[in-house]
Amino acid sequence: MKQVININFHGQVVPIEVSAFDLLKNYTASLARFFENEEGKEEIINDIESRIGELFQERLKKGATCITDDDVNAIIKSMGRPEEFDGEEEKVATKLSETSSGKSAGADSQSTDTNTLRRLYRDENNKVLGGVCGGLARYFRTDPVIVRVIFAVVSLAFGTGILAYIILDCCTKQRF
Amino acid sequence: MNIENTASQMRKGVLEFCILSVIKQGEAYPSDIIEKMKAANLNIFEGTLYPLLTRLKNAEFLTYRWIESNSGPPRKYFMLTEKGAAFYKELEATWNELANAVQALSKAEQEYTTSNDFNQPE
Repeated sequence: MKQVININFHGQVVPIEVSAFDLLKNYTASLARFFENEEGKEEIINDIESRIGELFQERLKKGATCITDDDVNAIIKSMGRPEEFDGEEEKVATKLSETSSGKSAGADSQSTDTNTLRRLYRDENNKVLGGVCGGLARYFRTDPVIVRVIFAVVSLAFGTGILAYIILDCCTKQRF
Repeated sequence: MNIENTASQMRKGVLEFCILSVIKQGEAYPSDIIEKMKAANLNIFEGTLYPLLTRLKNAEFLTYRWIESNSGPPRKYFMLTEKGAAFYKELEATWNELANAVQALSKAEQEYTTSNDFNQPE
């Protein structure tokens, strides 16, 4: 026995189960986060929600008394979740890495290509031990020798450099 | 390097051209466009389409008008602008060039293999 509420969704009154409404809210929140930096994001989100509203009306016209969890999940499946949007893998990767524990030292560089992602990788082509310094050098666009010298000096002076190296080696991925 | 990433990048490259191709045939609204693309065996999520349409509209290649609908909220019907038509012509030329190049290269490999086999002793 589920509670059903009426919502005003883009100019239409839609009876919807409370749990389904929560699913809907989570989805639209994920869209808002995903399109955070996109020019014209309000328009995009509005269009998507409008389309969802249309799909709701289709179901109601067919005789459904209210919108259920299954309905919302099916609609989300066909619209696609942000991480499934074509060609947006890099954007998603940035968002995921921002929430996880520092796997990537990259940040969105403010270039004209909004999907550019600067990640910290090990450099398999330029390595002495694990390629960490090579990767760091690539990221900071300097000579790996300089990075290695600094690393060595820091390790000798403070001792923690070696631990840092091991952590970076484990946490960064190989660059192909 | 994984196949999904590379394949997805290939698709991403041609999406705009495909969408414009559909709209060029006539005024269309988003789920129309999805259907036509599905019919051509190119499946994309509606969620992928809307941002692309908005970007193209903001670049002034597309324009739209609202049409009231009995079955819900009003719909946006998109069409090409003049700028869009010109852009489309350029994309078409680029696509043809690219398609021919790729065909030539991938075919060339096959021919090499065939002639190689021919030289093998029986």
